Amino acid sequence: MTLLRFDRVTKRFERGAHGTRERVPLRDASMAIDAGEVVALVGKGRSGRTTVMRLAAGIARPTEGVVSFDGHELVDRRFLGVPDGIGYCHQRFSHVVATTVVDHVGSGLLGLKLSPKEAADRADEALERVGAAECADMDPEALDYAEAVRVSIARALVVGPRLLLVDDPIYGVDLDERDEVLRLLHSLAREDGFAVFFTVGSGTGLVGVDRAISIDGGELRGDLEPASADVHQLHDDVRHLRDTR
Amino acid sequence: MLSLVRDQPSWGYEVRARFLERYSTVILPRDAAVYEALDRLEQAGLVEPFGEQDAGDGSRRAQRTHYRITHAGVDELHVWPRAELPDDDPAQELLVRMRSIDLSEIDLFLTLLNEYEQHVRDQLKNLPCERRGTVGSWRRELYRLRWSAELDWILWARPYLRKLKGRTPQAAPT
Repeated sequence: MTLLRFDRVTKRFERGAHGTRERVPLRDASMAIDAGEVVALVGKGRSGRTTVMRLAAGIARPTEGVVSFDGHELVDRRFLGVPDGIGYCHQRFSHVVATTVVDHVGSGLLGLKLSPKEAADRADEALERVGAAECADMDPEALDYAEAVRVSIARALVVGPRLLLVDDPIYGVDLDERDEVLRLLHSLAREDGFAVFFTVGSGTGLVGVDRAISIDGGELRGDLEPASADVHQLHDDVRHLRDTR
Repeated sequence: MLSLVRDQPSWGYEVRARFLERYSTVILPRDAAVYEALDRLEQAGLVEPFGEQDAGDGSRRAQRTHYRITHAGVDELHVWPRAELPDDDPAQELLVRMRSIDLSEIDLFLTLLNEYEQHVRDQLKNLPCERRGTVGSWRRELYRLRWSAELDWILWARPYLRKLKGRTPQAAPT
């Protein structure tokens, strides 16, 4: 079942004093992600990969085209941080929100009318699931990169989303630890049925994924559709070039 | 080889010199390989000898066979760069083709690069994400870093080619 879909999405930012120049971090992008899939988006800095994540979360709006989740356009309805919705995992932990990891993870439940005890129990469960139970009472600033990623995933998980968006989970994480983090993402898809969509700045983060997409200059390439319908597009392009000679 | 003969009909030694100038960073052939390749191209009807000119010192031994490209050879040069990359060492094939394509055909460069990128992405995603410490994981890490470096190179090369395209309005030989 398709959870997330981009249909011919373009995002433009005006630049310069009177918006005379523009930056286009994403051009005419179409893709889809199904439940239970692990899909990675690889791109260098300023390639547009963070824009894709922000659009997928509904934090940013497309200039053209449609981003939809579970058949509903994200412009019409908010799915971020709600049960059965979208969990956006980023590694920023403001001290204004809380000073311990467990409180940060529990903060996602504030709008759900749970007792503090229930909230704390669910936060502990989520930390256990991601392998960060021992971090519960730590100050988030004391976490290393790999721990911060796990905690950020727990913070998103606690609400019970169906799609997890993870912004650069292997950034700063050494090669050995990377696989532990990647295996966690894979297990969340395989065992718990989440759709997992994450960005990486290096191909080392692509091992074991179901589909890999790359982005540069705001253009997506690779396995854009779950049924791999687009995989043969490249060969069609080559044939077309051949035929037009 | 064929593109070198197309650019300038010539004799074996001279073609070999230009071959090394253009391709030595990508492929380094045995001394005889260039002559053997010219023979094969001739047998395939892609180049043909024309006339024989001596080297100027009067010796028979120094007589040179000159080669020029045939119509079939010209056709082949349109087909070959567009053919699918082979499974066996596609990276080297890509680099050789990129050196042989005219710079005015940057769209063809980009198409080849896209095709190769698909290959590299597939290699990476098909590597197992397994527990560390096994003997198998040493080999896996080697390939992982290798393919990852290739992907970095592709993501660097594509914007570079696009910039080059903006600066190349007319055909320019590589």
